[in-house]
Amino acid sequence: MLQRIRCIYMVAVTGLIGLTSVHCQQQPAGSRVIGRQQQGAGSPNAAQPQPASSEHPSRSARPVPAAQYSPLAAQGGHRGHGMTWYEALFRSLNPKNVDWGMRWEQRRSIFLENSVGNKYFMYTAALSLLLVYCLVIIVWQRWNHAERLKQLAQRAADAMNYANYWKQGADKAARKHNAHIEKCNRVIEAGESGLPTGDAAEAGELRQQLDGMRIEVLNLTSENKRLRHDLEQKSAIVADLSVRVDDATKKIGGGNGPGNGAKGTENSVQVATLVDRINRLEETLRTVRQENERLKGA
Amino acid sequence: MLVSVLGFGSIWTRRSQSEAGIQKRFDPRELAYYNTTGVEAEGKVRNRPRVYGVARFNGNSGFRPECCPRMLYKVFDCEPPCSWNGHKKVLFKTLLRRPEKPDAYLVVVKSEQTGGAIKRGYWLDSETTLISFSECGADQEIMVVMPAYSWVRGVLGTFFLEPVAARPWEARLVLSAAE
Repeated sequence: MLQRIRCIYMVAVTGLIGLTSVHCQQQPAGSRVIGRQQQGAGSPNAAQPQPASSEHPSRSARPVPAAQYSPLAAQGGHRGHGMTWYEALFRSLNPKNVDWGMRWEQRRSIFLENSVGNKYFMYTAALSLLLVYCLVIIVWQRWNHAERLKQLAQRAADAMNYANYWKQGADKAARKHNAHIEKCNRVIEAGESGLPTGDAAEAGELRQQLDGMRIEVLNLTSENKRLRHDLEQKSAIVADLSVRVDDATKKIGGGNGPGNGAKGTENSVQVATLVDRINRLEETLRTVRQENERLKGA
Repeated sequence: MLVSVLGFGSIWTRRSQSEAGIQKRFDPRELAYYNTTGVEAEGKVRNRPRVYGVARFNGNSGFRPECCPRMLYKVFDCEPPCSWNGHKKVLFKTLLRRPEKPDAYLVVVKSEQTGGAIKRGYWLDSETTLISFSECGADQEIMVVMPAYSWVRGVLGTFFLEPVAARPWEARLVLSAAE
C-alpha cells in the first residue's frame, strides 16, 4: 500500500515537473524577448513613447504615473513586447521569473535525502510510531480494564442479589422443615407414650365414638328387624287363635239348648279358660308392640 | 343347631379314611368334604387366607357333592362353629329331610356383592361367626355363619340377612337404607 502511494506520489510529482519544464521551456523565449526589451529599455524607451502617444494621445500625455506602479507599464505594456496574453498572465504570476520546477526538484531531493534516505530519520520515525502505538495500546488497555471492572461490578451485584434471594428461600425451607420435624417429634413422642395429643387425640376419640355409635345403630336395627319378624309371627298366631275362639264361641252358642245343663257348665268353663288365654295373649301382644315402638323410637 | 346353606366357597377338598390312614373298605359315606373360600390369583383359584376355616360335610350326612346347587337352601343339623387345630370349623352332620326354620345360615359373601369388606373397625355382627376369609388384591370371599337379621358391612353399605317370610330357610342379604 505504502509502495503504491509512493508510486502515485512520484507520478504526480513527475507530472508537475513535466508541466513546469514545459512552462520553463516556453518562458525563455518570452524572457528572451523581455530580456531584449529590457536590454533596449535604456535607449529606445525615449523613442518608443512617441508612436504610443500618437496612437493614444491621452495616455501619451501622462506616461509617468503608469511607470510608477507597474514595471510592465513602465516598459510600455505587453503590446510593446509582442507577448501573448497567457505569457503576460504567467509573467504577472511569476514576475521574477523564478524556476519553480527546479526549486521544487531541489527541495524534493533535499527532503528525500533527509527523510527516506536518512537512516536516523527512519529510526526516529519508527520510534515515534512505536511510541504512539504504545500510547494507543495503553489507553485502550486502560479503557478495557475499566469496562471489565464495570461488568465485574454488575455481575458481582447480580450474584449478591441471587445469593440473598436463595438464602431467603433456604431460610424459609429450613423453617418449614424444622416445623415439620417438630410435629413429627411430637407425634413420635405421643406414639411412644401411647397418649395422643392435641387435635389427633380428639379426632381419634370422635372417630371411635362414631364407630361405636354406628355399630350400636346397626345392632339396634338388626334387633328391630328381628322383633318385627317375631311380632308378625305372633300376630299371625293371635289372628289364628281369634278365629278359633270365634268358631268355638259359635259352637258353644249353638249347643246351649234346653236339657244340656251339665254340658253347658263345662262349656262355660272352657270359654272362660279361652277368654283368659286370649286376654293373656293380647297382653303379650301389647307388650311386644310397646317394645317395638320403643325400639323404633331409639 | 340348624343351619341353612345359602352358598358355598370356591374351594372343595375331600378326605377319605384311607387318606386319613385308617384302612377300611371304601365307603362313600365315610368320606368328608371340606369347603372353604378362595380367590383367583395368577389364573388359579387359591386360598390366600386372611382367616382360615372350613365347613365340613360328612359323607353320611346326606350331602351330595355331585349336585351342589341342589344342596342350597337345605337345612342341616350342625355342631356349633368352633376353633379346631388353629382354624375355624363348622360341622354339618345331618341333612334334614324336611326344611325347618334354621338358627343360622351359612353365607358366602364375595367382594362383587358388597364392594369388599371394610377392613378397619367392626364390619361383622357380633352374633356372626367368621369361618374363612380369603383376599387377593381387591378380590375377597368370606364364609360366615350368621343368624337371621345379622349384618355385614361392605364398601357399598351394610347388608342385613333377611329370611323369606314364607320359607324361613331361604334368606338373602339386603342392603340397608339406613346408611
